[in-house]
Amino acid sequence: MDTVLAGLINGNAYALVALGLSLVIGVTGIINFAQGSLFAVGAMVGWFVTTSLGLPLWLAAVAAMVVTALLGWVINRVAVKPFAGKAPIASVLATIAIMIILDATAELIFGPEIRPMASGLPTASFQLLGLRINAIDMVILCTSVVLMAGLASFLRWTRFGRAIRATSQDREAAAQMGVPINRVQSGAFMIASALGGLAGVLVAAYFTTISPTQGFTVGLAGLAAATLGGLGSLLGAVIGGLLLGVVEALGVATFGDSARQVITFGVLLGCLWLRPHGLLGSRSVKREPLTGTFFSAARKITIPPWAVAALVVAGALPIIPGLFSGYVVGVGVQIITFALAALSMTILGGQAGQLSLGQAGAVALGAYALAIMTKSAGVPFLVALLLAGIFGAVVMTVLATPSWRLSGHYPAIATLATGALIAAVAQVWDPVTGGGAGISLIPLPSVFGVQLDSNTMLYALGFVLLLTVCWLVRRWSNSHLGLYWRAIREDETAARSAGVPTPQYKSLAFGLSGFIAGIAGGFWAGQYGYINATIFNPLMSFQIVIIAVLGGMLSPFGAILGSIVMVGGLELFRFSSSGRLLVYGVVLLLLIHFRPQGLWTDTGTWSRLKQRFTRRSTAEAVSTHEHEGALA
Amino acid sequence: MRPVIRKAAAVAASILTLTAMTACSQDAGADGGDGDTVTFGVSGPLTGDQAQYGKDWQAGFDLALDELNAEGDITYAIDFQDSQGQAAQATNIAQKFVSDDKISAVMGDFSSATSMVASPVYQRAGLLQLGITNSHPDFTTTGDFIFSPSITQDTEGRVMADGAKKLGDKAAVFYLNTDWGKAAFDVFSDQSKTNGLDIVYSSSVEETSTDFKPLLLRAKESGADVIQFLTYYKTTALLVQQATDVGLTDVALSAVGSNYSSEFLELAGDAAEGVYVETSFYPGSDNADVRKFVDGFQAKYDRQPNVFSAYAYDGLKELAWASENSDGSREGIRNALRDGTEVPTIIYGPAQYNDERRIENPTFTWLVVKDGTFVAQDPTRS
Repeated sequence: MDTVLAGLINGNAYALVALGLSLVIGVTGIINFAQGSLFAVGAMVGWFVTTSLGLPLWLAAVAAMVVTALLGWVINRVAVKPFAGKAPIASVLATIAIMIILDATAELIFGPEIRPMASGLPTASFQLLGLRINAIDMVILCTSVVLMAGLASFLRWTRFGRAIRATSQDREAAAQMGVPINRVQSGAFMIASALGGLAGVLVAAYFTTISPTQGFTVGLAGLAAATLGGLGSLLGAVIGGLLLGVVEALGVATFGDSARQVITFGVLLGCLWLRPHGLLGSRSVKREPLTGTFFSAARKITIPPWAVAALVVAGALPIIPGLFSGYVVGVGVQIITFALAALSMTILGGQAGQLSLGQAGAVALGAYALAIMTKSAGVPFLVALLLAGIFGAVVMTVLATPSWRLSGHYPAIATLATGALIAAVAQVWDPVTGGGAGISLIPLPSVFGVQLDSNTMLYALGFVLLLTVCWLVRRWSNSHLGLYWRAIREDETAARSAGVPTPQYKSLAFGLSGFIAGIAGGFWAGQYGYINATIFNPLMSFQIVIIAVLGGMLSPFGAILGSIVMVGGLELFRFSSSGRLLVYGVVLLLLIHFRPQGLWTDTGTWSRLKQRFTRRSTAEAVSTHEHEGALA
Repeated sequence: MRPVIRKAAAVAASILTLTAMTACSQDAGADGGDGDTVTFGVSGPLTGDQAQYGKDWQAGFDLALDELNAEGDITYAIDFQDSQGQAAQATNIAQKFVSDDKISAVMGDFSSATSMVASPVYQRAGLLQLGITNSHPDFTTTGDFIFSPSITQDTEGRVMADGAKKLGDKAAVFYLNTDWGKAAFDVFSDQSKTNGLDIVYSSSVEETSTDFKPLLLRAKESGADVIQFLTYYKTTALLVQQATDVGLTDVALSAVGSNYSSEFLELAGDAAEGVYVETSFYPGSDNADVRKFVDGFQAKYDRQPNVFSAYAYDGLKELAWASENSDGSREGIRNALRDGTEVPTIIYGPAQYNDERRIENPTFTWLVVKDGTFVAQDPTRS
């Protein structure tokens, strides 16, 4: 019973974060990944007001809500509104970019250290069922209840509240009825962000410590809670949050703290499989084309054979020993690793039009499979690598199958949960994965009896792998497989009525992408010699999607280009450790703004530029363009 | 022909990017090439979950640099690269260091697991890696260029278990679910079999978690009379606070040596009262070198040094000593450290590295938190 009580208090925090998420999803249809960062910002503002300035807690709460509400307005302006009516994935990536920027800025301003927080509340407490109830526990519970009741009546009885509800029910209809949906949207964003900020202050006062990195974990738990309750349902968010808190507390008490993530994502995934719209979600099916809309404005760039040859030669240069320093070649190996992982998204996203936020899970499967096979069973590297790929393919296909019933935002969240669950299981499954200790001393790859013990040799191996996978991706895309996938991508209903067995082909896309991700993971494990579960966290999944989307998912070269820019480019900022992630976030945001279709795609800019310089007639340019399109 | 030109331009652009990257990274290594400067590389977390411990290092390094550069004609410098505590970054940094001729020796990374990934790179290149806080029993086994002044968990875990036995008979143990935490717990439970301490409850905890009440309630139900924390101070602070909240008030608390820090006191507040720690570094010591370090640290930063800062200070001083007592080459520094019988340290006094490249026979002091400060006191039942 006392465990349940402890869980309820923790679940309260999830509920507040989930409320904000659900409100935003209802109104804009966008998952705001920055909600967790707003939580952290709220906590830091709270710390500043109470501990540095010595002011009372209620003032801190107000300050935090004001600051985060303003940030919410900014987020809406910068990351959501510019993409209205365009691809939702652009907004999702933009909120991820905001999350990175906010977290990095918070770390720059407040420093990385954990700080004690003085809530200024009386330390008086009373006993209830053996658990000491402190003043702050009461404050949190009362605030939440008052707030939720207030929010409910605000939405029910005020004009603005009704406008919010109308917009979330049917955006277009609301607009036609004269609801100022833009103002409603920024209003909803500000309310949601203030909720996140308030949760930050309360939780900081509860745990009496704050750290700038805490937002990410809470954000994920909040997302899980919101999904559990049903996205867009406010009551569902509260119930989902409290339920998750209690289930976590009971599970943690029984299986230990390390099982927490397994429980969170296991419950989430199980719930989605049984009730595809969450506990209280509406049954209305909202189609979310996600990646599909990316391609309307872009064409594939076809690389002529001579350019392919030139690229291969350029890419092979680091294999010559002594031409580049070991460090540069090392970065090259990293670029290859991420390019391989991103190629799995080229199949899944670029061809079949499915978004996966859990590719790190498939990479982890391959990495662990290879590590265990080569270290414990002595399987030769190349055989193990192939088996690692097959293992990734099989497990990803199996895990993706129950998600076919899902629609709207849920498939993407299901993949996120799958990826996180795989990493969480690896973190606790001691006998097989080494648990938190990971697997060290994985034998270096050896190919045909030659041990690859230098960076140059590892680069050569990676380069050959990369070429092979690129060739595979190209072959699959150009075969009838690719044709069916693209049919599903463009219009799933039409494809199905034309007789394409869509679930099977989608499964195949997940399987083949799992295969490639598994190979990437195997290469990762062989090359580093050490893996543990924290490497394969959701941030890695985000990184893979970012590389694939920003590089351009239409051709394999996009993944490579994306990896060069986002992995190699990041190395250029090594001189400034704290500013590095900030720069990364800003570059990401700018790229989404200016090249949402990806770098390696043809949006017609080139032809327009060329036209300007050569003064060719518009008609001629267009006809050439169409010709090219037909070829591609 | 036009599309061809366009694509050629694209190809040229990507090649340019590649070369630009190469050029930039080479430039980055070209700064500060003074003839009399000895530079040591540091690979450690300056951002990410472990960033706080990297800052502790930085404080220790800066103080040591101040002292070294004030006294002699040789200028010492460090090249601190941020690894975010991640294995992948640590390997990249290792590659960078080994191919940079100005780096004479390297310290880091923070956690053993991260350091051990980079070790083969240093060993192959013959560049000394001094794992200043790497307590994993296998850390130095990679090769004869890998040294660590840190006490191994094997030694510390046994000292902890014997201390816990003096505080009670039935122990509840919380340990970090990391390489370090698990190894520490293994040794602890092994020693408790020998000394008769009964482990009635144990659970691993995650560094990212903040809510431990469900676990502490279980520990309370188990009837433990001593709770042992094999966790770093950020997690320990949360654990001791929430232990009070769930009503675990009449049990003895004992934490691993690295909790001996002013940050722990600050974070845990009143809940820290009565927590025992054991430490190899005790700033209350009368030793002149220790006083010089503690007073210098207090003057520069206005706070007490913690053990991470002390290890960083010591590590840099040891490398400087090795550099002065050799030809200053990478191998010379290694040989000086290997053969030296009186390597100057503040933590252990004049020390010697054994065949496993670890400190021979370290000594410990027990401390307890009383009225908000650490005072020396052996564990006894109250």
